[in-house]
Amino acid sequence: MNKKMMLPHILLCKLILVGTRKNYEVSSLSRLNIIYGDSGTGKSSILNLIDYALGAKVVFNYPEIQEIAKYILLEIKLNGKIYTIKRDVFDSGKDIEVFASAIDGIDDVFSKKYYSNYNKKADELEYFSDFLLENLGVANVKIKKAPTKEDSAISRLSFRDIFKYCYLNQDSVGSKYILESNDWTVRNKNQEAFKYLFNLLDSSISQLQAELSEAKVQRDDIIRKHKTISSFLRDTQLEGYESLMNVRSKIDDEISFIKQEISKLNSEMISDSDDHDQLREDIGEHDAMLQELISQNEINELHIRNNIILKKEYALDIHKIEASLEVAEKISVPTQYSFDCPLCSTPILVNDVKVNFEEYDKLSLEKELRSVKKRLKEVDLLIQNIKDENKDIKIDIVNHKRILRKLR
Amino acid sequence: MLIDIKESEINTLDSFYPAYRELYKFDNVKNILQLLQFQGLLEIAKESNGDVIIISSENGKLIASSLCSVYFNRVKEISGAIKPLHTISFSSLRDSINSLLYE
Repeated sequence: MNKKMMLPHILLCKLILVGTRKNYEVSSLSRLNIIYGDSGTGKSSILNLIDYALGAKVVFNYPEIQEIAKYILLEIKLNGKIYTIKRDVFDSGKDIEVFASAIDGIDDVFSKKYYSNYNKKADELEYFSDFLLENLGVANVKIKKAPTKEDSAISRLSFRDIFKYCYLNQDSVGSKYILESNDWTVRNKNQEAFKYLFNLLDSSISQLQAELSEAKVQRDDIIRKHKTISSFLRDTQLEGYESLMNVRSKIDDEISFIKQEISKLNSEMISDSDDHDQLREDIGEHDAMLQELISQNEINELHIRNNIILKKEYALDIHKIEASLEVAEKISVPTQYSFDCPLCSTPILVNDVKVNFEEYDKLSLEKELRSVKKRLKEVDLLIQNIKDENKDIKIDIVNHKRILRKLR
Repeated sequence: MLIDIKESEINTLDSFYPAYRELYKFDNVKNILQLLQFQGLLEIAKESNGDVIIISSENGKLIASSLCSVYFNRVKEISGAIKPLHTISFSSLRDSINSLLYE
C-alpha cells in the first residue's frame, strides 16, 4: 500500500479556460469522468487543453477558442500537493506560470515562472518539465538516444516522454505510427522511457553508460589525433620512440661535452686575457718609451742645429776679432786731428768723431779672441756629445721598434 | 765675377737676420768716412759742378792691400764681386736689395 502511495501520480482537479467575455470551467475532474456529447461540442478540446497545460507544444486552434480565450488555468495535484498552472493559449513559447495553490487562491500567492520548453537556456528560469518531474518525485534521468551504439548521444528524460503514455491523441490511436514510431530517434527514446517506466532502466547503469559514452568519444578523439600525429611522423620519416630516445641521450652527451669544452675555453680565455693585458701593457710601455726617445732625438737634433749656428757665429767672430787686431796693428795713430768739411768748411775734430766709436786695445782684443776660441771648442764638444747621445738614442729607437714589432 | 757662398756663411745669424738697417744710417757712414779721413786713407775732391768726390788715397790703397786676414780677404772678394753694382742707380739698387730682403 505504502509502495503504491510512493508512486508518482497526477490528479487533475479543475480546468478553466479564461475568455474575454466569460470563463469556461470544467470542475470535478478529480473523479472518474466520462465526457460525451455531439460532434464538435468540445470534448476533444478539454483533453487537448489539459495536455497543453501540461506542456504540450501546441494547442489545436479551434475557432471558438481563438475567438474567446485568453489563457487556461489547470488545477492539479502532484503527488498530493496542489498547484495551479497558467498558460497562454496563443503563444506556446511564453513562460508558464505555476501557483502553489488552488485556482481560487491564485490571487493570494506569487506565481513562479518556468520555461515552456528546452529551447531556452536555463539561466534565469527553470524548465516546466523539470518542475513537474521534481514534484512527482521522478529522478533526473538521462537516456541514450541510440541504445545500441556505444558512443550514443545522451538525452534527458522529460515529463513529456512519460506523459505520452498517459495521454494518447485520438487521431493517432488507430494509426500505424502510434507514439510517432515512424521517427527513429523518437522511437528509441520511447523505448528507453518505457524501460524506465517499468523500472527496467537502471539509472546508475544509465549514468555509467553516459560516462562510458563520453569516454569513448574521448577515446575516439584521441585515436584520431594519434592517427594524425602518426601519419605526420610517418610522412616526415621520424624514427621510433626508442631510437629517438637513443638520439636524445647521444645529444645530451654531446651537450655535456660541449659544456665542458666551453668551461675549459672560458678558463683558458681568462688566462689568455691576462696574457693579453700584460702584452698590451708591455706594448704601451715600449710605445711610450719609443715616443719619448723620438722626441728626445728631435730635441737633440734641434740643439745640434742651434749649436752649429753658434759655432759658425763664433768662427766669424774670431775672424772679425783677428781683422780688428790686424787693423789695430796696421792703423794705429791718426795722421791728422782735424780737417774742414768739404761742403761747409766747418772744422771737424778727431775727438768729436771718436766719441761715436768704441775703442779696444790690442790686449783686450786678444783676450776676447782667446775667450771666443775657448767657447768655440766647448760648442764643438757639446755638439759632439749631443751627436753621441743621439747615436745611442737612435740605437734605442731601432731596438724598441724591433721589440714592438715582435710584441705586435 | 761671381763667387760662391761658403758653407760657413749659410745658416748663420747674419744670414737669418742681416743688419741691413746699418746701410741706411748715413750718420754712421759719415762718421766712418770722417775717421778714415783722420787716418789719411781718403782724399776729398770737389768737382767744378759742386759735386764732392771721396776716393781712397794712395796710403789708403796701400793699407787696404796689406790687410790679409781671413775676414778682409773675404771682404775683398765680396767687394770685387759686387763692384758691377756701381753702375746701378741708388734707387734701383735699393729696390733690388729690398726685394731680396723681403722675399
